[in-house]
Amino acid sequence: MGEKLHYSQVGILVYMIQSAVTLFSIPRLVIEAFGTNGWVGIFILSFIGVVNILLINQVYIKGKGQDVLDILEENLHRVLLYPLYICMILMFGAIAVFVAKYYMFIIKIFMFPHASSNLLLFFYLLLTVYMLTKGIYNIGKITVVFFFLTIWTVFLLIVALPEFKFQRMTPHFFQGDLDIVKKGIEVYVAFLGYELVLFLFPYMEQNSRQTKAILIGHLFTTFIYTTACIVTLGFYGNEVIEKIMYPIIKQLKYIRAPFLERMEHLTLSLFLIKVVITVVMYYWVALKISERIAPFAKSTLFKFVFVFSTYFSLFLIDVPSDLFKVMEYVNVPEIILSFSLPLLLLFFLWKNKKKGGISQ
Amino acid sequence: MFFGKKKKKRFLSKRMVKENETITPTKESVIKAFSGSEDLQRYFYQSNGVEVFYFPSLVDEVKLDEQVLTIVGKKNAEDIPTWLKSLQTTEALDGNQIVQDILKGSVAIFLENKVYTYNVFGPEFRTIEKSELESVIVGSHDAFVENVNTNLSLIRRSIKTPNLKVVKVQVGEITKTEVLILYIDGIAKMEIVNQLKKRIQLIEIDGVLDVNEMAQLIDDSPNSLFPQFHVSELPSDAISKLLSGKIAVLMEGSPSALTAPADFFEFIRSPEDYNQRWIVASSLRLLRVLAILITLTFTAIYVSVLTFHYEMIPEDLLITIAESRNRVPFTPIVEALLLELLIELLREAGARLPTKVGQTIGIVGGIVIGQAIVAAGLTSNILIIVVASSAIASFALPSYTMSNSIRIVRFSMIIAAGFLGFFGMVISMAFIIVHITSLSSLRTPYLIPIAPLYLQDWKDTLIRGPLFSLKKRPVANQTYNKTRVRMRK
Amino acid sequence: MKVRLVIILLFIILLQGCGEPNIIEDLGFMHSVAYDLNTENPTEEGRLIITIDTPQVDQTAEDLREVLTTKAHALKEGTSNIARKSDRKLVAGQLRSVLFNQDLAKEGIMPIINSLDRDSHIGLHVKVIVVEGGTGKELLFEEYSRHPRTSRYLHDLIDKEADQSVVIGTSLYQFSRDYYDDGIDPVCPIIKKGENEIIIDGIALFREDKYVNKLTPDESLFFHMLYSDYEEKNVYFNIALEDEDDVFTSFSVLEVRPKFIVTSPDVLEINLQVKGIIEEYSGTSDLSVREPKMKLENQLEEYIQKKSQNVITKLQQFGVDSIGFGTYVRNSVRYSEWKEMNWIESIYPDAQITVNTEVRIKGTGSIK
Repeated sequence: MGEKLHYSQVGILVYMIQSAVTLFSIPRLVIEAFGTNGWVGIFILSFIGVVNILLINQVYIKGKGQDVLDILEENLHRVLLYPLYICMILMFGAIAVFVAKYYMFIIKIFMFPHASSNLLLFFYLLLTVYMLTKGIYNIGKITVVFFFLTIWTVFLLIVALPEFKFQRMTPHFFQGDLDIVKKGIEVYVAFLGYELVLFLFPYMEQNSRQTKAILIGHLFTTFIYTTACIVTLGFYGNEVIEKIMYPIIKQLKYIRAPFLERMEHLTLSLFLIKVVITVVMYYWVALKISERIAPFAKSTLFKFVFVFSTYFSLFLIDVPSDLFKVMEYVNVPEIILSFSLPLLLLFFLWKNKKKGGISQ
Repeated sequence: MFFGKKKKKRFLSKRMVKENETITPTKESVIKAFSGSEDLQRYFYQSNGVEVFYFPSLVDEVKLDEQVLTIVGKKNAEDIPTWLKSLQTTEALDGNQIVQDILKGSVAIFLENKVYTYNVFGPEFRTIEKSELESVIVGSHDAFVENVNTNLSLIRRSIKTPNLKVVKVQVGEITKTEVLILYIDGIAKMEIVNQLKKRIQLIEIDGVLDVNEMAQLIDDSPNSLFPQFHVSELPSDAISKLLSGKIAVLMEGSPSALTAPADFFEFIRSPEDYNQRWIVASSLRLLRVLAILITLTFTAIYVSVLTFHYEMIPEDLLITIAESRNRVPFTPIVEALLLELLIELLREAGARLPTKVGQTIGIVGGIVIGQAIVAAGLTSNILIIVVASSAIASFALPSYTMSNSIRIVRFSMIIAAGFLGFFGMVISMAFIIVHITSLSSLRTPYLIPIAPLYLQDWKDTLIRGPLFSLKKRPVANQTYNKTRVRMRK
Repeated sequence: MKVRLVIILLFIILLQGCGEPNIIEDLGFMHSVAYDLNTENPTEEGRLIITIDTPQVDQTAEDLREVLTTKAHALKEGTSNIARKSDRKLVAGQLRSVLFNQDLAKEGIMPIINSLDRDSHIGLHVKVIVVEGGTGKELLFEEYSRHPRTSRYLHDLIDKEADQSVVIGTSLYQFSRDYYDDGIDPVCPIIKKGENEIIIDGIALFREDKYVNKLTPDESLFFHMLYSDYEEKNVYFNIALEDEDDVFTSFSVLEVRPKFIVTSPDVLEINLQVKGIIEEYSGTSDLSVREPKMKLENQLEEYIQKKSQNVITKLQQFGVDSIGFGTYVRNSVRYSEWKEMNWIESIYPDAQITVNTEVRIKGTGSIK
């Protein structure tokens, strides 16, 4: 079996990292960002993502699958390198815990209004640590299983079709109060996650299909987002979606089966295993970078301590709106990093090649 | 990992360690070795000075009488060496060797200063019967017995190729149990064979009594709840596994064969699947998958719905449940655990008792207690249905070991459901999935055609595709020869 | 290994005291809630009269349900008032219908709808109903001897009628969707109390969230044809044919497809394609022949056209756009134009809306 990530695993991993909690609110976000028929905007953002992925892919090809951290260490002095590493560790660790906490807030709102979100988060992070101890190859396998366990929920959208009306979609494009920059960033964050592929290079099978797999993963996310937006738009109409915090969850409430009156608790809980991949992968990258600074980071104890130190850093945040405020500090740096890091790496690779060429 | 890392530690007494040294083959040394074993039979022939040693319990009395005992007495001392040669006995040069041979059912013949051994092994064995544990409706009914040679013959009879290789290994410092590793050369991957062989050789234990016990000594994660090798009583199962490129292990005294590497889905496959029409077989497999799901989740869903998610069930059902729950003094989780425990007790009691008494237990437990417990208002009758159906579902799995594992795992789901409803259930399920996915059997991933993903093997995983479509051997076995069927279509 | 054991122990210890159990037999599931306007002494006792109906699950109890009522200024106040009267924890997760009396509906019901919508326990399929004459309180307190569980009876009645007949079973989701969506006004069924039964009395029309008027059951049929795709219902109407005396026919409607054509914001056209079968016919003509059949079709066309035109005129008079003409107008003009024109108030009442009908008789039943 060779301990390498198969391209199908990489593709699924990309999709699973990308789509997380934002999926619940994306129909509202696109309308806030792009106005009527905002789902078209998803394609534009997705295209930006594709460009970014192609950049990352260039690093993969030019570096022949070399570990990006090795490239960085070859070219940067420690004085520059370590602050960069620490920034990255903090950022990825923060994103991981933000996603987890955000999801716990949603669970709290819809399922356990009186429970403490910190308590729920605690169990969730225990699961995360358990997964982290299994190593990246096992995480890759687990992702595939979780993918098959959650993907069928897409078909639940079909149940809403009897109430679907095309006239609610309106023929107007990008009208209304637009907030392209701020909300657009929030929508774009829903696509982020592919940049973690950079750190997966040494674990990936050397195969020309890897690029295609990453792109297919990304396009699959785009497809899921667009379908979700279109279905909710025909189900609710523009004006209504703007007033609903999580339109997708609300739509799940509509589903009714002869033996089940409502399913949103079930599907919402099931989403747990989809979100956990995102959380685990961000933690994994943070821990991987920590290993470069401190060798003891490999131990299970450190993983536990690291994850729970992020947990305690958010312990006092009790209200979702407070969390959003903090999250905004990370969104923009993350987008910047996802573009600048591949560019920086490409520059180093180009420099190395030139140097190599001269010495030959 | 369990083996390989630890340094060799001798745990046997010094007296026994001597076994490994070479000592001169004298009568005294043998007598000394067997001192205290009063069942050792000795005959001394005054006419020619020959003395024979053997264990009556290990030898075939008729063969011994006809070929040795009656003849020895009639021979002169001078004729004996020629006679022994014609009998094709072996001359023993090592005292320990003689002891071992006697223990394996040989008769030792002492002649002045030479010793010969002759194998007359033949104690009583169970004859080949139907399998009790894995009953088959369509297909071969033979089951393995305790005699390893009979078992080997059951396999050799069906696979008539010189490529069926057998490696002999001895396990157990005291029991010296013979273990046979079977594989088909040219199909099975040698690295896996060698690895399995190495692991078995590295076992250091006083004795192993069954393949199931040995399996736990050589598996990748000994602390896991799940069996990592497939063990079956059916030769037909072992044969089809061998053909698909797996390795089979037979063991002396064990009426079952271990096959490796195993994956999770092997435990929902029954050898019978291949004898049914493919659509029927596929439906049966899906039914078994459903059975796993029911076993794992039914009671947990009951607990979480009744404790947290009352919105979920339709009104009619809700009122029925609420009415029957109205008199129950416990919370749903306590109620469910009590009843689950009761069912497990019933099952365990029924399994240990003889068949006829076992049935009575079933009736008393199932009907009498079930009726009374509802009448007394200790549980709701809906829960009885839920628990009983999940218990029945757990018996639908072809593998007894796996069905036990799943029943235990289910309790974690019930407890988690009692505290956090569906959220707890999914967390608990995620823990189980993470664990299962990271398991491996001989370094082969446990959930193989799903994770890692090999779509071509899905034809024979949750469904059983038509035979003509199963052209390739499973990827999991990493066989040299990949093609299984070559059929014009 | 020790670490793992500690984790498991921690897990179990922390699990205690987790979640907030809602154990089923300790709950009183509100099945229906009625909101009425308190007209007698609103300033002191509160503006609202809130009545809830929960099924009783105690088998030893004589009544199958528990009806409780209170007066309150605000919703939360009402809930806590009622909670003081019940031994069970009242929960809204199984709420099936909300009733508003006419007086309250006239003042606007959106504050209540919104607060129901915000409660994550409440489903989307809750029926919104207006009670005509009297109050929801009376309706729920009344014992209907043939139907021991009143709210169940009410819910099933609306459900069945919405499925089989011309009533529109508006759910909470549909009501708030149509309220927020510009270009359409919400509607909901209206009921009244009979002697020993509940009777559906047509469709309540809202302008935004305020009740304006209602359509009679007769008009409801034609409203429904215009309102949405119409399939597989069990409705028919009897018409007297004009040119012959004492000739009646009963026409069963199978399928209706309305098609909206917007020429300009104030000129609209609806093409109505109606398919159906003749159930009864007392005339002498042979309907299997083309001519008389065409003639009958023409008569039916005229009849439906006239009736639907009447419904539309009525809606225009009330100033409610329940059919959603606005959405078609919105989709035909530019976004900025639509935002500027304030269509519903300035253009709609005088808009020229015409109905064209096309009737196809698909069968003549068993009679020749």
